[in-house]
Amino acid sequence: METKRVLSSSGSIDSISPLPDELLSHILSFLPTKRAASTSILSKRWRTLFPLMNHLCASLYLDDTDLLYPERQTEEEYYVIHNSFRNFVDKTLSGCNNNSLKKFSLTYEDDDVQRMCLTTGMMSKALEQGVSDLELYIYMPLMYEPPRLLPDTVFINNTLVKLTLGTELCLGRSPWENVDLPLLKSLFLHTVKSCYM
Amino acid sequence: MMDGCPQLEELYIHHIYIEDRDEEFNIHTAPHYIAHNIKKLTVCYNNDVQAPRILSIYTPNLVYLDYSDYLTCLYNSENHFNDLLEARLDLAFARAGRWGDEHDTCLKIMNSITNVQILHLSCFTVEVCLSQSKFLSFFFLSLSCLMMLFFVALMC
Repeated sequence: METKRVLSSSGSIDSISPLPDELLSHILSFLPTKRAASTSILSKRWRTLFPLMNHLCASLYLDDTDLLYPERQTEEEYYVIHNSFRNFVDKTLSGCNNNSLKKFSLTYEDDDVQRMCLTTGMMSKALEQGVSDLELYIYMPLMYEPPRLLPDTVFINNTLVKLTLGTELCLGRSPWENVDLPLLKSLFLHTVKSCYM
Repeated sequence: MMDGCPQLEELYIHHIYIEDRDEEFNIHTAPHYIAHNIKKLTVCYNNDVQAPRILSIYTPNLVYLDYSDYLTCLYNSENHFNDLLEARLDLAFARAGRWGDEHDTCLKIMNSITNVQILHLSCFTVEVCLSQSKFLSFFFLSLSCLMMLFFVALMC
């Protein structure tokens, strides 16, 4: 087979571009999702690789501290930024093929009671894609009556193999009762509480 | 308990001390009763307690145990861990001072792991052991399968 050698503008050999799209998109699946998505603006060739990753073998690592702009502090901007984060997660999940999603990792600070149902929606959507490795690091502040943030499908689910729940998260239920996780092999609980004190 | 996860092999419970919120999380520290066929168990409580915390472990197939706690807990384990290969213990006196029955608790935990082959002891666990002479004979007589012993220095 003839090997094509591509020279970059600086004259050095570009060993990445000749790789097949499938391989490149697989490499993208190891990156934090923000980094993987940002490769879409590199060139026309790379524009399709992130969507292809989601279609073939998605692993999503989403962290609001990484995606948001903490220096923007006004209430309106805060609302806009959180909305854009949720839209991004939603859009990315919609691009996943059924059963292509292997890992879904979400690090998120949820302190807006009104919009917690939207966070629940993000998790439900990931679970609907048949995810096997679910990692939820969701910080909840002290609340008088915290709403039930996690959808029931976290605890009743026949695709999950690894489940991680943390930190300073109120489950709103017992992690041991009414549980049906027939494939679960690893369970990690980092400073969680079952319900309101 | 835990009947809903028949394939579970690995359970990791980590409880850290959170300033201002410790009381809130302390009350619902879960679970205190672990009964399952799991092979790997890590229990790490980093928060000091005002009242004894009860921990009951009934896991006959355990191969790996990593247990980190203050010796203010009431520890129960019905059977020895016969298949245990490796154990890591970090057991310390309570920060506020001694309660009086720490050595009994420590000995109870040690007695349940006598089949262990690889043992890691933290400097705090060694401190507890060295302050009672009965532990010396325990090390020579009871740990008959021991192949490797590590001492681990931890930051306070």
